[in-house]
Amino acid sequence: MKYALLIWVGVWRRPLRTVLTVLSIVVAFLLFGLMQGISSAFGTVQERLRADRLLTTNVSLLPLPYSRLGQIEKVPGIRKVAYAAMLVGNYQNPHNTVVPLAADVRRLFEVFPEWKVSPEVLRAMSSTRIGAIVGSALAARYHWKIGDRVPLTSPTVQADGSAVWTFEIVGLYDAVDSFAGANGFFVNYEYVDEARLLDKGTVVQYLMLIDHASEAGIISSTIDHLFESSPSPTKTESERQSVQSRFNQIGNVAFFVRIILGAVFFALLLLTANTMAQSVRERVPEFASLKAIGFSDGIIAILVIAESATIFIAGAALGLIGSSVFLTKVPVPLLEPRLSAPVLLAAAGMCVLTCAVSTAVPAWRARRLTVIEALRRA
Amino acid sequence: MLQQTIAVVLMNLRSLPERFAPSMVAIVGVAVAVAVLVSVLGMAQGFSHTVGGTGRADRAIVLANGVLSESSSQLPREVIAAVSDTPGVRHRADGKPMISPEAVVAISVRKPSSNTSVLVTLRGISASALDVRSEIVLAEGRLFRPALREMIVGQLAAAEFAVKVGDTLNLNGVTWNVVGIFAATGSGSLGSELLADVGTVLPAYRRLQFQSVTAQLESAASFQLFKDSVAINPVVNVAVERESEYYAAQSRDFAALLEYIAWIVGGLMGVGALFGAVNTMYSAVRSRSRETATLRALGFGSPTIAAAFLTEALLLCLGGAVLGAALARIFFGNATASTPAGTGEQLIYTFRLDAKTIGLGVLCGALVGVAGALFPMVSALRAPIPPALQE
Repeated sequence: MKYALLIWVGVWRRPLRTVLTVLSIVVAFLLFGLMQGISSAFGTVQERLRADRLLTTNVSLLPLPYSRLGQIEKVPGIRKVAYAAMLVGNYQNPHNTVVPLAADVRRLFEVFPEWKVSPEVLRAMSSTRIGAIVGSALAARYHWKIGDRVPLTSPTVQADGSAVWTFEIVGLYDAVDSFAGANGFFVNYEYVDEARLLDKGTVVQYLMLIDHASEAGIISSTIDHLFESSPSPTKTESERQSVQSRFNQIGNVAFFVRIILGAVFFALLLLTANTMAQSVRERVPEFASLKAIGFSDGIIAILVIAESATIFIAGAALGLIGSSVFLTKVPVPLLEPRLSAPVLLAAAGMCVLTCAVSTAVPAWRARRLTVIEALRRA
Repeated sequence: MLQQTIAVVLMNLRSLPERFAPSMVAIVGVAVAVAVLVSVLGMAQGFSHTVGGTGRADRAIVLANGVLSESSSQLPREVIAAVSDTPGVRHRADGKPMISPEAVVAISVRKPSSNTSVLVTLRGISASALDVRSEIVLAEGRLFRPALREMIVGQLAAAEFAVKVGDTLNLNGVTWNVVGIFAATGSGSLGSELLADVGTVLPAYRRLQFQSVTAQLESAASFQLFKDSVAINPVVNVAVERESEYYAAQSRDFAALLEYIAWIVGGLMGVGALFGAVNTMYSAVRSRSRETATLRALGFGSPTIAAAFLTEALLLCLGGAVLGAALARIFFGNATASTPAGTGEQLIYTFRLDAKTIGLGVLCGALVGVAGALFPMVSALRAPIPPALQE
């Protein structure tokens, strides 16, 4: 393309200025990639939460009676029910928090089909009272192997006064497409309930899979209605809802991101508009010569736009690549920030928009140059 | 030479309006970077100031051994008697020891502004707590009466959750009457909390054990005596910390995270502003290459010329920095944030854009100015004079 050479020469007319402008664009899109990447990761992660899994807890966060299992099972629309009690503990020092869930593990894995465990491991749990099934990620973190005995210290005391609970790892499980990942520590409810001093016969939550996610609201109200006049009324909501409200506590992340990015791109717009205006102003004689030779007004305008676009695309590409590298290198807990398609699309949009706005006036001016005036100014 | 420098500087500044657009680039770039840096740092400062202000050096907090925070601690009643008898504790005029056994419950409350539920701390206290926590001052209404489901609400929490005296709150299944609103003078996290009688809180939420005992010491120096005496007491197995250190540790992680974000985002934006400033200065140098060459031919020394450009750059960037700091101050100077603190309960605090933070922002702006002027200045001084004169 013959125009390519013209555009290229135009871009590199003042190399330093071009490089500085490109670098500014790189910084802007680096920030864009980083912040949008993290912000959209929040959204993606929430997609992994199932709207067809419900959690029932006590309204006041105290334990619930175990005896409610039967009643809950009979509610129409419920496919599988599991229950769990919790031991908050730590391994070796208070900073290594491990929270064993004491449950009927068979029921638990039925309610969480995205967790993969082999049937032998489940069988081993029923024959080992102090057995534990541990998530592969958690086991990797503390270098636990099958057969290891793990002592956990917990404020929940046992009947004999001891605060140390020892479990034997009988197997590991993996998580596929799961929000929480493979970070669980599951033990037998019967053992924990018998050994603990307080809160006997209670569970901390009921977890259930329902047939249709659309019925989540109705089923939740039905369950809560069953127990609303009992001494421990319940609150039932879908997994997705309960995590979303916890995320909302952190504050409106998306809002702040948008404000910062807005400020950044405003400054960038100013910079590039100024650069393009300067560039065109300096080259008025050249454009005049081109027009005198026979290049049409339209082509001149397109040349200006193409120059600006080249700079923008180069800067945006480098900035996004940089942010992608940074996002993969730096681990963010729970999120997997990546430059997903929507983010890239948004970046492309920003690129086009900023380029268009900053180039509009200079391109129009270049188009409107009359040859005589321009040559006179030279 | 000073006269020469001043003359050249003034000459440059007078021609500044000609270069309005490029100058705006530098100003806006720096303004935006400094605004973001100062705002986020202000948030971090506000957070650690509020949490840190909760603890006093002459008070000690007793928690169960091995826990990271108050809410996961459980203390049996024997601890209260043991702490009462420990040397180092201040006594009231009537001889009673100034200790406050407390229970904390995490309560789910609806925030009217965003219609989401957040966790708030409900602290069960006894009458002795008001002696120990002298910063609690009743602003409206009255104190709760023992054995009744009455509570007083911190001013910050009352504002955040739109609660007034006379309201009835249903908190996790228990109904409470709000009979008063209190202020926690000297900041501190108490302003975000709800206070009620511990004798009512414990049975209402089916608790058997306290979470902490706070003791007013005779002086900050008595802490070691108090701690050692508790340690050798065979009846109890607890951890004793100076209250100020406990709260400082609680706020450390989140404040550090905010500062990290502030410097990374602000830093990146500062780098962008630097490029803008360099661009601006290069265009300034270029547009006055003829004047500069003339001055040099006349005998004005390099330091003079350099000083002129440096002054221009500093002026623009400092101007931008001050603008950015002012914007941050206007928009966020008194903003309140409500975020989860250490253990997940809401802490309500105001941004703190104090002189130190703003000064830091302005300093960064100045640095960008100096760095941005460097290379352009050098190129201005090294340009050969004759061709420049002919431009």
